[in-house]
Amino acid sequence: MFESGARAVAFALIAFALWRVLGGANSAGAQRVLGSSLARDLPSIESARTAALHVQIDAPPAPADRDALAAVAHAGTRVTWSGAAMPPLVAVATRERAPGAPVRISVASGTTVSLADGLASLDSVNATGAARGSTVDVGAPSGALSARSGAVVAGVGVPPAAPLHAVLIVGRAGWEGKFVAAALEEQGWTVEERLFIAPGADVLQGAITAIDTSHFSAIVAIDTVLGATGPAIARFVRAGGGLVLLADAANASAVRSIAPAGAGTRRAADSRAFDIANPVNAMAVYPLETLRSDAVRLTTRGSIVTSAARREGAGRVLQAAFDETWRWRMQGGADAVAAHRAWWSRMVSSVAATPMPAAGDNSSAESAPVARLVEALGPASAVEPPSSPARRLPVWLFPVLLVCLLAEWASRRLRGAQ
Amino acid sequence: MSDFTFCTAQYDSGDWDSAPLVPANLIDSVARYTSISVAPTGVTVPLGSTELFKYPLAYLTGHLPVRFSELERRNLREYCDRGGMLFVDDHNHDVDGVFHKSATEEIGRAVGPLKELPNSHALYSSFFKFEDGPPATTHELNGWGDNLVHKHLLAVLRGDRIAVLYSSKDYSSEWGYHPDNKRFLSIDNTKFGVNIIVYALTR
Repeated sequence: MFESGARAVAFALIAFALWRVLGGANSAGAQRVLGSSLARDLPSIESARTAALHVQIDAPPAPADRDALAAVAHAGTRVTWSGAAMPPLVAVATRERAPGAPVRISVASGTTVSLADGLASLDSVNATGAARGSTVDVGAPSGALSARSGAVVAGVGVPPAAPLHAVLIVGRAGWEGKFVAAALEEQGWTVEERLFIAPGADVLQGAITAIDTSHFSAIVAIDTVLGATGPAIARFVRAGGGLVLLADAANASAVRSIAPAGAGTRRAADSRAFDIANPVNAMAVYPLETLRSDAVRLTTRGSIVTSAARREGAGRVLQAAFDETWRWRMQGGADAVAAHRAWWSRMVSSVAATPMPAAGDNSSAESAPVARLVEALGPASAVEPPSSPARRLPVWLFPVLLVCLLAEWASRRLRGAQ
Repeated sequence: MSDFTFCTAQYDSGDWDSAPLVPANLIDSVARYTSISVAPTGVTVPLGSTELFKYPLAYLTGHLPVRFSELERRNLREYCDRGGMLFVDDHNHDVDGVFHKSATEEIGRAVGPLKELPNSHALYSSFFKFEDGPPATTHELNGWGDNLVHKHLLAVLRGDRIAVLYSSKDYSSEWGYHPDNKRFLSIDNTKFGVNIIVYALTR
């Protein structure tokens, strides 16, 4: 009877110890870890089911560690953090859909931010002004881009350079087609043309085969003469292609149903001078009339709408009222050639078909590490919770267990049992 | 879109107005063969004037020595840099005449050196096809003057575009007749003029 009782007590103590080690008895405590050792401690933290966990950090943890802490918090552990003041920082990169377009890095912070790529430092941005933000153009970054403000480092995901296809210009042969093609070619676009000269005699530049998004990024219609291209344009746009309708091109029957508006009666320019702050005022216009409900008004001249855009299927249509933009290039001021070129490239790039991002897109880069930390774990704790020692087995447990086992063994030996 | 207007460049030296019938004849041909909207009369614009920039194609000819003023030189360089095209034709049908010597020198100084334009250039197929390059003129063929057929035109290129097209073939004489008289020709000899205009309008 004594032996059975001692054995039972021993088994009960062993079971208690196991329960204590493996489970619930440990859940009442609080644990504190340092950010520098977080990666090493995380496996034990995840298995310990600590009631509260406080992380002391000097810099935002790695995304995987931060997400693991968030998972621990979701599992019931109260996770808090504190540390040195970390300036909020966000850095994102965009790339215009134009040939050779630079990577534009937009930075928002309250401090000075330094930018670097995989090779070297690129620039530093003073983002302490009223806007608390700034932009930097980087030609061709090499390797991973990052922005650093103190101990906070934000990765800058660079969108891949979209493979651009040709631009097709259609309309009557004339100065407008010539100079639109020149402007786009000088800006790096590949240009193909179908310009009407006489019945059955189009001037073709390039091997214009199929009008689809695998050949063309955008079509520029400079007037109402769309010729053989007309029937394919609406289908091209719905499939994701871009369309720029210049002057009265929106009145062409082939594109009227997808144009943002109708083109009204031609009005002369407000000014004869191109070298003014707004040179487009020196161009004649076909005012946009009866805008469709889904069209977005982009620019106006007084009460006249001069440009608008809308989506059609997967593509975009931009309508610009301006006529004879070539006069800007020929008759404008000293910077007119470059300005006209850039203006046309922006027009086309704003609608150009965008292929799916290529593999290697670094969009997973951590662009706002402090914001992501706060989003995952909440704001920093003002008061650190008291730490409690790690749960141990009661000191009496092992001696009592030993005594029980020895007593049971001694009892059996004394009565001669084997 | 405004009409295409044929522009004759007027320069201070020489006889810029030596071929007064050429503009009307080429305007007639453009209207006759194409659907390009063309102004019924041409204009004459001083080479040193900002008015020149309203007309991205200009025609210049003469018999006498050419000396551009500094203003004309600067204006011509700017005109070509912006995308304008100057068509120069030597109204003399001789070799190495005074117009040729002085005009090529002035063009070289203002815009750049003239080089031979390959006879496969897009200019020769921009509308009508001229598989052998620039068509010969009657002056070249009948031995009056140099008794020599100039096999190439000369040009100054900006990128792959012609900024200055230079002819020693005396098209100014060849095309200098009233348009009504085309009916007496078995082959209209102004067709190459249409090519020059179409090329300028599309390239």
